[in-house]
Amino acid sequence: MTPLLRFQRITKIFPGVKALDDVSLDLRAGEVHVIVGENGAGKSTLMKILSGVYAPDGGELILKGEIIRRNSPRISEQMGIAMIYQELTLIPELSVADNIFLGHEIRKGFLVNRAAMEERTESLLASIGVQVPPRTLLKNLSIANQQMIEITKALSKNARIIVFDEPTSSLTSAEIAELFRIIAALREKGVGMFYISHRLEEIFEIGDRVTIMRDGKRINTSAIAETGMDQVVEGIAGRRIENVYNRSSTEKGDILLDVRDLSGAAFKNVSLRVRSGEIVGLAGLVGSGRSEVARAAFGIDPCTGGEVFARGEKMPRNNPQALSRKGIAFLPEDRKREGLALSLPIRENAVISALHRLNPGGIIRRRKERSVVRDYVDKLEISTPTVEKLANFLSGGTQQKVVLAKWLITKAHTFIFDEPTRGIDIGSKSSIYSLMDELTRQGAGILMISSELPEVLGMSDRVYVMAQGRLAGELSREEADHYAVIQLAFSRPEATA
Amino acid sequence: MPAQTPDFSKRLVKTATDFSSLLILAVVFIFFETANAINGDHYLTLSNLSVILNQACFLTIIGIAQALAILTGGLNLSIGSVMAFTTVMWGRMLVGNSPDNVHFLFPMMLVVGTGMLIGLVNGLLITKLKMPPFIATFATMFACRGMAWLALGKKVIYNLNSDFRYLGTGVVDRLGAFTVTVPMITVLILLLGVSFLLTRTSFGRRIYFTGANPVAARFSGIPTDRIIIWVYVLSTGLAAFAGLLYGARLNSFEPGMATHAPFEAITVALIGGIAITGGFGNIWGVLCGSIIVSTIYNGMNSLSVASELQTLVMGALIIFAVAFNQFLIKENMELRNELDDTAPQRDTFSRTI
Repeated sequence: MTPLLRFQRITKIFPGVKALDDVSLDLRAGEVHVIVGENGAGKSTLMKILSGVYAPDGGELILKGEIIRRNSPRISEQMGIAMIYQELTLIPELSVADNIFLGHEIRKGFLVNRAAMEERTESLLASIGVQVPPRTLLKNLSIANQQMIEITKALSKNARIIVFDEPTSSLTSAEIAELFRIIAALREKGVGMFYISHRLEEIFEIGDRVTIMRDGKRINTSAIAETGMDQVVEGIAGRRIENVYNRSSTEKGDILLDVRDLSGAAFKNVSLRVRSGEIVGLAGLVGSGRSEVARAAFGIDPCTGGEVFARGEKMPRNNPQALSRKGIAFLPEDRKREGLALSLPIRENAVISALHRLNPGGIIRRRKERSVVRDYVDKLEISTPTVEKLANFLSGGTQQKVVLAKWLITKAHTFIFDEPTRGIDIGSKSSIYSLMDELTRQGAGILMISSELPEVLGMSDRVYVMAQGRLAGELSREEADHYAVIQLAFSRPEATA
Repeated sequence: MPAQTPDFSKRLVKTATDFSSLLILAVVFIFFETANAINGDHYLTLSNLSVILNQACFLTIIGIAQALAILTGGLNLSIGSVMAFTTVMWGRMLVGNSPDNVHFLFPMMLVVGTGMLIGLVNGLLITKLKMPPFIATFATMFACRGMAWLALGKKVIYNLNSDFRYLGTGVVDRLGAFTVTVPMITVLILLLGVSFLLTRTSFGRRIYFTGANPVAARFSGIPTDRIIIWVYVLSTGLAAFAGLLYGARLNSFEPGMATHAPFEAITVALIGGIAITGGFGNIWGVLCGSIIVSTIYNGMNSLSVASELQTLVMGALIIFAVAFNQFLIKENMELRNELDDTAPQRDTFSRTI
């Protein structure tokens, strides 16, 4: 039987990374093909090649036995390929029927034939067993129902292939059951579906086949019925050997940062502790609420409950200044946007958080400032000819070191690193790891949020794992391995409050 | 050595971009000198220079007020209305020379204080209600103009106290044909003060950083709300002070005064090299921008250009100046970067004027 669609040896290269490496995969009519993998494994890139957002650097896309030579979002839509994303692309102020036929309205002469559109909408909705009046404004529907409309919209364009990208992330379990019922109905109609999800238990419920991806490669494809959960988890995690982590054993001391039952928009009841001399990893999938917890704890984002203590002292909410003055440092993931003023020189960036300490009285002491900054430039081996170089012109690794210098100059004792090595070349990476190690040997505490499991496992003395906005578990250095972390990260922690 | 030549020329270009506003000024001077010379007139006389400079002083004050707001990444449209409202509100205390009058410094403080209060409102609207500065100060612009009309109606406060008028019209010294006026001294002191505040204090550093990247500023523990509120208090208070000087020069206060002031202020700040995106620019550039604008007005008058045409020329000038400055800022940064790499000894830092 010819498959509905085939990815034939697809390769996609982005500057510095091979996002897809010789991936071959097929989709049959009337099947739900699940694709799993960590963030960055290449799932989304593959789907974007299907929808025509990216062009592959090698390989072919074969639809019903025919090679697709030109693709674009428009062409793929005409070929009957539809995407259902996590974020919906509908317009809240329009009716259900108007949304479904937006861009391909049924016309009578120059005018839109509203009656025909409403009639067709009704029959389409009925065909998948959804009961919504076609004239209802979209904004009055639940998220789940809006998703149904999105699916109906795809059907109205005669979609033969539908890609679901994390469709259940904002649905309740009743709504998920409804979605699965519709997916089953689509399967009966012979629609081929790719289903991307981080919820492993789901894929056993809905999938026909599963493909595991890792580091841009297809690891394995097998029928769900013949696949065990262990196999999937192991396949996602893989076994990687990297040895850039030099973690010395350090003396653990007092609690420096104590986050108690913190709740916010994207997370609930999270408690974390960081001791002196300790590197604490905070792992979890993107969207599990890791960064959000750290940002709220530091006072950047609002929180709805809970308390934060720095060295035993209760911190006011929503006040990053208070935390920074009490010795808490935050090194954000997006250094260019959140860490530095790019139009200012290294010197002014480096002292910005310590102005009150360096210049009591508020008058800048220029000579002292310059010598302090030069000191740290030497200590951190920041490669720059002068401290006056604008931050804009520094490499990612050097920028990260300037942000670190900024906090070292404040004499911070607790460092929250959000993705400390993202976008940093391997050489700078290992020097940042040594710096982290050095800091803890001098008694500092570090909370490290990271999506890179090897980094979490290589550097942390303890690992917290988050899933779906909750703390899913805590692992000691001995307990923490790929398997344990991934299992927690993909788990569904129950509400504890 | 031949290898030094490109480096030298780059250095020259960089120096030129450092002083771009001065370059524009030179071009403007030469243009009007030549244009007047065709008519057989001499434009760049000492006496005319002192007229231009005196005129520029008034622009400089509102320019500084605007530049402060722009440096944080904002804008202050309430400048003109605040000048009108605050002076109209307290102006009666500045009328006449009767010995029963309170000292003229007292109503002046009330005017500036009222201005600062309105600035506080501006700052709170922007930070606490999260209104874009454009909208917040747009609203206070109308509100203040309305209050000015309500307070005085279609009347004018005139015949002001002569000691007070000295602030706007007084002469300190004559150096030949060049007249040194009180506003010149006032503006010089103001510039020195603001420049010190911006470059030599922690507060100034935080203003630049907040303007350059407000998100990173919060992540760095800068109380950005407080900084922004203070900047609008200063900016709007300065506008009220400018209102006093305008009144002192014109010998009257009236509700319709200075309607174009916020826009003139934007013009001189931008021509002076203050980046509209915030966080970049030297306050002395505002002086340069004011002199350029006042030279162009003065020059066009000397050539008897119709006032409608003058407005058109100003529009063209703003487009030119902003485009030119944006180009120069980028060029200047890149050249600095290259020179930093080739000359490890250099440690000096200058911002584009």
